[in-house]
Amino acid sequence: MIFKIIGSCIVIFSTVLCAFYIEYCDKRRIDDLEEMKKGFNLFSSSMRYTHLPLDEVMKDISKRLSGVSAEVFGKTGDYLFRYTFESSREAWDKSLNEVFPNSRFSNEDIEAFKYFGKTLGYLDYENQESIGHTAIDYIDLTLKSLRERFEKMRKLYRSMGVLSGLLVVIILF
Amino acid sequence: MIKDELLNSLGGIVKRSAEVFSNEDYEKIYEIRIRTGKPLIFMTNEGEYFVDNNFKKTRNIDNAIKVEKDDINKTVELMSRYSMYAFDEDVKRGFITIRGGHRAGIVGRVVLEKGQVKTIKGITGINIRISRELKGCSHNIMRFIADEKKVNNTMIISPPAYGKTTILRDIGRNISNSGRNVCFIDERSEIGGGVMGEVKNDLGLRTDVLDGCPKVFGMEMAIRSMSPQVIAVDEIGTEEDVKAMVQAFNSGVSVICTVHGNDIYDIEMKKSLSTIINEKYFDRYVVLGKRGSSFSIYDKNRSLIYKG
Repeated sequence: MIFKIIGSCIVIFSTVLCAFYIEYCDKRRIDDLEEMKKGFNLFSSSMRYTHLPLDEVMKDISKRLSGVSAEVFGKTGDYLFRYTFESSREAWDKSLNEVFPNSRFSNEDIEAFKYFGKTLGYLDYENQESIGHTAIDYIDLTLKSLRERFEKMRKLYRSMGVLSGLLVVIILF
Repeated sequence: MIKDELLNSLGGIVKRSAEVFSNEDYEKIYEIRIRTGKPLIFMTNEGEYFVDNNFKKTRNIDNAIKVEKDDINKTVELMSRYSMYAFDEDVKRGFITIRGGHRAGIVGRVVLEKGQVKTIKGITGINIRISRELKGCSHNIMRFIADEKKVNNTMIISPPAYGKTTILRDIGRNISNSGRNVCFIDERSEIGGGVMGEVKNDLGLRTDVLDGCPKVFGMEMAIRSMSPQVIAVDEIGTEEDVKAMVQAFNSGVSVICTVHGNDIYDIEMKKSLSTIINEKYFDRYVVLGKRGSSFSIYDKNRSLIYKG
């Protein structure tokens, strides 16, 4: 009997853990997007106030961020500093593609970020600033729907975790 | 090396063509002319050089490789370190200073706003003028310009691309190393040879550089804040420049400047400059021959005192 109780606890614990993991994945995308938003905000401010070259702007932003967003800006800054590519767009795309597997960004997010890279460095500072704001607008919209969805789904995930654990226990015993 | 500095700032076939030339070749090249749909031209003291479709040097323009719009776009992006916005003010005046202090003049469609140049879009032509630091090139001129007691107010005159800036840089360095405080007003970052405020060239031990600063403000700022004994300034021409120079003369600061012109009489004809010439503010006029091949020196009365 004691083994059955221990087994049941393990099953329920595992399913609850799965539920928490799924919840964490959703939360991580929100966190990553919020960091990217900070990055784009810093980019727009740099365009307005500092007029520094793009490699310095990217490296500076990278230092102020964490996680995959810091990597995207940092790698781009390095590529630009070393003149690895003929255009800043290629450097930005390459950084995004490298970081994408380790992030929770969706394909849509990556496409929106790539759009930001299309005119990176080529326009005057007013337009650069507005391109930064366009990326921020996309993130704001995505975050809004993600947060709403997250609030709904969080309770569901947790309930489903416990209930699916109980279901498995009932079926097994 | 000049070649490495330039290759970092070139893209597309312009870069591939520039790679063909050796470091020794770059000692002779003084301009690279890049035009959409036209042959890429490397100007040297020996004449024009081109690159053919097999990426080999040639002097035959008919075989020369032609530049596409995309090559120009890539080159502009690299020249500006992927940061065109950071060069807004320079682009308005028609140039970008690239790493190494080489000046790239640009042409294209000029966008106006309220009667002023806002920017240049759709760039169709680039002229890269290679900047060189030729230490000692002013050796024969120095004895006419400075002695232990004073530095003469000096105007260096020549047409474009004759080496005015190179001579000015060397004169400034010599004066600085001989014990006087010199301030360069480097509006186009050509003298210091840097980008974004860095100074790459050796301008002397007692030299300050106001980088990217308009000449009019620069001369005033230098007199107020840096107490220089000599101000060196490149390519004066407007009435505002002249007013600022007169202020410097009246402050007891010696001025060494350059100006575009064929000879001293050409300068006299310019309305903005005729006043200071007739009032004999300048003690010496140095008229340069092509790329330092010869020079003539005149005194304040415009009498020839040396021809070399």
